[in-house]
Amino acid sequence: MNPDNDRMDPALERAVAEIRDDKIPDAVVDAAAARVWARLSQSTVSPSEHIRSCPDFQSLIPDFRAGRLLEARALLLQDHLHECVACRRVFEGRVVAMPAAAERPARRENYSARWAIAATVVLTGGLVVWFAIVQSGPHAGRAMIQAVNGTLYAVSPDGLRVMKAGEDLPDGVEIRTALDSVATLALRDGSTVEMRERSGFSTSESGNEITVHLDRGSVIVQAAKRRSGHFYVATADCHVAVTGTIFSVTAGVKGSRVSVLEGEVHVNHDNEDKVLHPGEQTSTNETVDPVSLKEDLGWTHNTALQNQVAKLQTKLAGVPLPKPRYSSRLLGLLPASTSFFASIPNLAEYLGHAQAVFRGQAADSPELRDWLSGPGSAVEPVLDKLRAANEYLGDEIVVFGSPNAKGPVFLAEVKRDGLADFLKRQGLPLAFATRPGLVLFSPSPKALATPLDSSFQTAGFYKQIAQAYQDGAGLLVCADLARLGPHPGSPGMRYLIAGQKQVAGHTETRAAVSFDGPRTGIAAWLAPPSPLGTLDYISSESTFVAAFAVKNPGAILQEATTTLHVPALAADQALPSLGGELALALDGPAFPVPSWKLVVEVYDPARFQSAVLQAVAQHNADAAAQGGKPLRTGQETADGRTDYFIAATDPNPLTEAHYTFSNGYLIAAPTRALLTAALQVKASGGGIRHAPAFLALIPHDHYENFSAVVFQNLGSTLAPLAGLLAALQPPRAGQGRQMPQLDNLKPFLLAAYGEPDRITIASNGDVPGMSLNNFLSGGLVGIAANGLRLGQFAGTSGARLSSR
Amino acid sequence: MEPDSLPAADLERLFRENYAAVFRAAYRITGNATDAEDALQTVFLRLLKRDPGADPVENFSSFLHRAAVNAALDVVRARHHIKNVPLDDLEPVLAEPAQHRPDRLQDAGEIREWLRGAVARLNPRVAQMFILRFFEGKDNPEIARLLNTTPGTVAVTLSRTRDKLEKEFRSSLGGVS
Repeated sequence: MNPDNDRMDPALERAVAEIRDDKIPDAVVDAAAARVWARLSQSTVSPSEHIRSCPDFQSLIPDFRAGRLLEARALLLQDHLHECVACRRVFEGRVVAMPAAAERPARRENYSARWAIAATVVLTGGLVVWFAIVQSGPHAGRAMIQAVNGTLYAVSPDGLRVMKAGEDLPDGVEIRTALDSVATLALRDGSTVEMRERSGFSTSESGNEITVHLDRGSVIVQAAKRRSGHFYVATADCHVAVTGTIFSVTAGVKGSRVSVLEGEVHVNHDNEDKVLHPGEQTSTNETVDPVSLKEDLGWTHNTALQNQVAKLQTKLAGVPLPKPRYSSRLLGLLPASTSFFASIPNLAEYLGHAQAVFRGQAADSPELRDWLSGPGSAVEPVLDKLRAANEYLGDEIVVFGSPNAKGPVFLAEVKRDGLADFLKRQGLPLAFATRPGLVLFSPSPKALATPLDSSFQTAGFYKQIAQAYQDGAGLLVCADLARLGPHPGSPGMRYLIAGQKQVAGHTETRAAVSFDGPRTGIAAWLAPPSPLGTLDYISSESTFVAAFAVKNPGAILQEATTTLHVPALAADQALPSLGGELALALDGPAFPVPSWKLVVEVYDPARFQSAVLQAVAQHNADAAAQGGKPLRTGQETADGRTDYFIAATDPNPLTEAHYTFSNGYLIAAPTRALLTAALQVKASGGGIRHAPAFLALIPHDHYENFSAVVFQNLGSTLAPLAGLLAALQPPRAGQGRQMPQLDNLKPFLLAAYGEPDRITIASNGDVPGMSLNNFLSGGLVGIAANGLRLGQFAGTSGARLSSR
Repeated sequence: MEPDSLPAADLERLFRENYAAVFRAAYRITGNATDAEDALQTVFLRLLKRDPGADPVENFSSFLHRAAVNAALDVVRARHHIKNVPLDDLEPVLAEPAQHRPDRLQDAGEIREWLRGAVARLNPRVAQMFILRFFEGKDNPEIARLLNTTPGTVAVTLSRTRDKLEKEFRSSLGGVS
């Protein structure tokens, strides 16, 4: 290959030769050229010369009658006259044509421009005809297969037939991508359809309308702009109508999901029409949860689309919340029976955002979930409608209710007359009541009978909410949990105060549960905020850390030994030796041996080691009785440091743990090298708490310490792992770019603070669904998993999560 | 010839005569049809919007081919989120995204993608030479003519580039440069 006879590395030689010899079918090149030319033609024609509406067509009629109209335009006009009665009447002289729209600039008698335009139109028409001839020779179908990566089948009663790039797709023939295969189809109107693996559809055409019948799987459609007619995607349970947009549709067993990247999409499901805009998503079944755009469209092999998805995600995530509010006139008016309270800034985006916060908090509180699915079930749909009515209302919309009320009551100041008429036009079955300067509405007329007597101001719940306002309120969701209905899973819990606000340019999410008296049960495990000395052994390069201060280390130890399936330590020996701090981290490469690190506060190392040896002896005795393999233990002293290990019988770095004791802490890791590194981190003072990525995510509040903190920055760790896993897998066309996307996980920090009668968790991020429940239930794995789960919100906007 | 005053018929002729060559040149560099289509569109849009005061184009085929290479390299750079680095400053191992390092490459497809990324990081003019020589199979005098330089300069530049790329590849594979 090398013209200079200087051979390169054979692998590079092969790669160069493969690139040079990679041939692409002529049909694919021609189809791409046709699309590019169509787009170029739009660029060469002045926008003022586009024919957009009936007045535009009618303005061409005089020239058409005089035979002066260019052939291409004459054809368009004739076609339009066939289908438009109004224009036909004008053409036939039965109606006088109205002048063109006002915004259309008056035609200038610029003959040179006209000739240039005329030339362009002729050229466009000529090339379109030329491409049509080129295309229509060997290809007679509605769509052509542009590219196949893997295997694409045509499904017929006779069986499956492999289809290749450049082939036509006749109407009504179902095509299906195989496992690990993707395919792209180019439709005659310039639209493209990218099929994910295991997806199948067929096409049909009626008049000017093309329908893609998606039988299964996922497609991403880039619908071309159309002069007339529509492009439809039909699944078993919804109908999607578009023109000039980019969107994805997934048809699954549970239902369908539609996500929009660009333009406007109309989704019809159960005779309800929903309009989606960029970043929005809907599904036909409530059991199909919304996912981020990155998840829904990230499988595309189209680089431009991938970039577009990333840009949209960034844009959505960057929408700032309104400035915090420090008082509320509406709060002071409420009745004493109030046990649910929400305050939403009256901006269209945040009314949508509020739904996401509602759902997130409902997932964490059984009491709130019960209320929102019962008496409060109307909250979300009404909020959705209020997005269109926000100009009538004041800066804040309050929703309040009580267990005995028939429904939630919405309260707002009136900024402009006409709200009642507007809501009637929207077809909302709401009852209204007005007070001076105020409006109340509710699905239940009886709920409106609740007096606004300001009696709430004497309630403890009011004081909790008022305190939240004093700290600055953005979105607030508050509940008097005890009055909404006691729940056996959360004894003693009283108030939930949750919300999001903008602090120093960052979105901060915070939720607090307070108790009637001191915390009890599992919720009492979390210790008050403390310095968390365990973090001193975690390096600034660590990509995942979960550190806790607990009041009851024995309970945690018991759960850890159960969860991790390691020998249970003798409680009477081990417990007195334990302090209350614990940290678990991934502090180095994740492969081939995960660089885990465990740091536990141990007051009495000798006693703890004795308990460990006793536990191992017990385990080995049990193993011998059951025919199992014993564990190995040992120790080694070097440079004044004693290292211990515990390992499975068969040497395997994945089943070894080395540990040592230092300054009142036990440090454990899979290798001695990591132990040494941990001690060096401590000696150098350069631990995770000084890492810029960690510091940047710490929530702004009055606490100096944490009771618990979960931090993940796994992107850099998962990137090489993803690359290696991808390399170890056989080529998978359908997921070829999925693995590398693991490196896009968004860094995240969750902080928890335990106070005598409350637990607060906070995150300096856009996390509407913080799982407070995991902290309250004390699940060790749950807490750790919480950080990982929250990481999946990467790139998901809280501002416009879903319009479902 | 001034592109901004291109008669429509000339534009049509240019497109018809060159779209396949432009598309295929872009396809070799980008490795997929969608990106090549983007490059094709970019090339002709740039032609349409070319500065009226720019030098007249004497050979449109060469001009469009070079434009295709540049547009395709832009696409690959965007795909790899990388910036150009001068040839002399090339520190390939450090600059290479971890997931694209050769020691993680297991099959030919990934090596091709790695090579495309490595070429896209080169100085644009050097990248053009490399592509014309190794992807397009053109000889040094032809490359020199296309890029308005001398065959000797092309030979020296290509030799240095090839050595650098090979060193990068081997260094990453074996950890020794």
